[in-house]
Amino acid sequence: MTNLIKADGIVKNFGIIEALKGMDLEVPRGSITGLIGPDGAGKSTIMKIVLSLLKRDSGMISVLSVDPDKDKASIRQHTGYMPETFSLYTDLTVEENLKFYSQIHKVGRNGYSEKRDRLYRFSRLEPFSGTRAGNLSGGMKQKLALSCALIHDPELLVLDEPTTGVDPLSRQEFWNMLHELQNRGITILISTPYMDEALKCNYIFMMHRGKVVEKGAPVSLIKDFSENLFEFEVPGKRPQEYIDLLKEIFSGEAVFLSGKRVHAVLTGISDYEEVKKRVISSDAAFQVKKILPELEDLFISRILSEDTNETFR
Amino acid sequence: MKPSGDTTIIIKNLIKKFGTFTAVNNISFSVKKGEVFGFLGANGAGKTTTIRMMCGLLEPTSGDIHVGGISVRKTPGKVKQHIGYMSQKFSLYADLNPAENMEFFGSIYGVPAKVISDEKKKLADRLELSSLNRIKTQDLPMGFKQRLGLTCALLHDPEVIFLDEPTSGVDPLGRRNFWKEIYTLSTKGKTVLVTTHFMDEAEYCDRIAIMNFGRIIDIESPDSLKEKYSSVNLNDAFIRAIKLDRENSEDL
Repeated sequence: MTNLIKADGIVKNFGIIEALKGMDLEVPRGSITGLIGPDGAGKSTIMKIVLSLLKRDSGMISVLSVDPDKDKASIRQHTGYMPETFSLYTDLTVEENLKFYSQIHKVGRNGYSEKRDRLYRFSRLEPFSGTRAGNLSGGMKQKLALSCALIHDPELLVLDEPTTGVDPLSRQEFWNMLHELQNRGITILISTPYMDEALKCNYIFMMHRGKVVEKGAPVSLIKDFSENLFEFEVPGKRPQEYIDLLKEIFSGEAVFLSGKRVHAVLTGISDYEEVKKRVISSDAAFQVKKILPELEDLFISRILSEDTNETFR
Repeated sequence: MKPSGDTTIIIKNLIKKFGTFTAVNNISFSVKKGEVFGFLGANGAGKTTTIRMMCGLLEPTSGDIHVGGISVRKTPGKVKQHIGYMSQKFSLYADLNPAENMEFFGSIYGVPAKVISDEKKKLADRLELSSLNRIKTQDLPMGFKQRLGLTCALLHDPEVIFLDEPTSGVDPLGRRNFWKEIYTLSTKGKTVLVTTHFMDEAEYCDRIAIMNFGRIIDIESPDSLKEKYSSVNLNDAFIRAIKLDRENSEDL
């Protein structure tokens, strides 16, 4: 599969802040590729560089076979962008927003009605065509923003955290729409903080402080996780009550909360019986399981090796 | 109705209408002292309207709200002393430095100067910053901002703390440290109400209320919710709960 985006060693600084510290990115044509990570990881910065909205300091990048810094017009024509903050006109109606975006993309009056109707079928927003965008629910705003980003039939869609702050059901509906677009051949680059969405991507780049800490297809990443992951539980107790004890027992290892339980990636010991013996000698109520990782376990074990000074303390 | 010793929040038959639209449609629930209570719902389900009424910021159309023994309807101004509010997105002034933010929030709640200066020292030690005056809040790392936000929300020692999507944008380690702190607060008797769209975080709550179309459709522990909707995780349980409620509403 050819890469629609290929970037090597992208560096971008804002004053003293190093937003991207030499990032590589490959987005295969027709894929949904995810940038996964918290705020400040560099997700929006690399997207803006892809879209020719920001200039890189150094590194090489090709998007749709051109250098975005050199051929902005071509990039703008063939890409659709949904920025992180809601960017539509809240006092315009749904229909007026679609029309406005069609005009700035020079869609042409004849093409417009057909495209609008197709987008209405896709988004099911037609009953709300006269509603002001500001009065739509969160989920519907996302659908409208997506429709506006699609009005000029782009080959590449760049979506910056489109589902942040959106409830799980609306997120599921939004992803169904993305898969429909993928089936039509559109390539999608999307960022998200939600691991359940990362699983729905063909490829992911896990980002932390301007660097890619892990990349690949989610399923293979999980399959290839070679460390030993254990899960601990004390029935009837909250995990916060016994995590410190586990941190003491396995000092120097990655020990962290996971929902109602505690997970630990153990490099020192791999033997289940040995792990069990150690925790039971501290508290007989411990239940221990050796488990397969989820993406969040993988992400945490990767970033724990980095400097963690900036997290909540 | 007076709350009993171990109940901090009592909501009874609460209704809020905006014109012909019923945003909150006759909800009742209570929250125990020290409970971590999750407030979930689809966007537009009525969560924010409910929280704003509980904080005394919005007058209910009808119904009763008691927070920390105060009738919010009778004395909406008084309840603010009993509530701390933190939102990852909005609660701090970005162009003030951390010390100024603490002074600001401390002074609007009438916190004694001595308490504010003690808290400043504690925070500086905790963050290992030599000074809280030399950096603007907007330039702090995300995790530090979050700690500052929580500190400001707790300066006046409220009984109840509202956390409105408190971990949005925070890295997975920071989110875990935050939830450990929330647990510590709850063991000290603080009642915690939290909204979040991270369903793995909702697992840390003692009970969860799910709202849809202005009504509460479930109040259960995370485990009972998963069991009720035969789901492996809360994300799945949430989706099933809302879908089922929508189907039932359409049948009527």
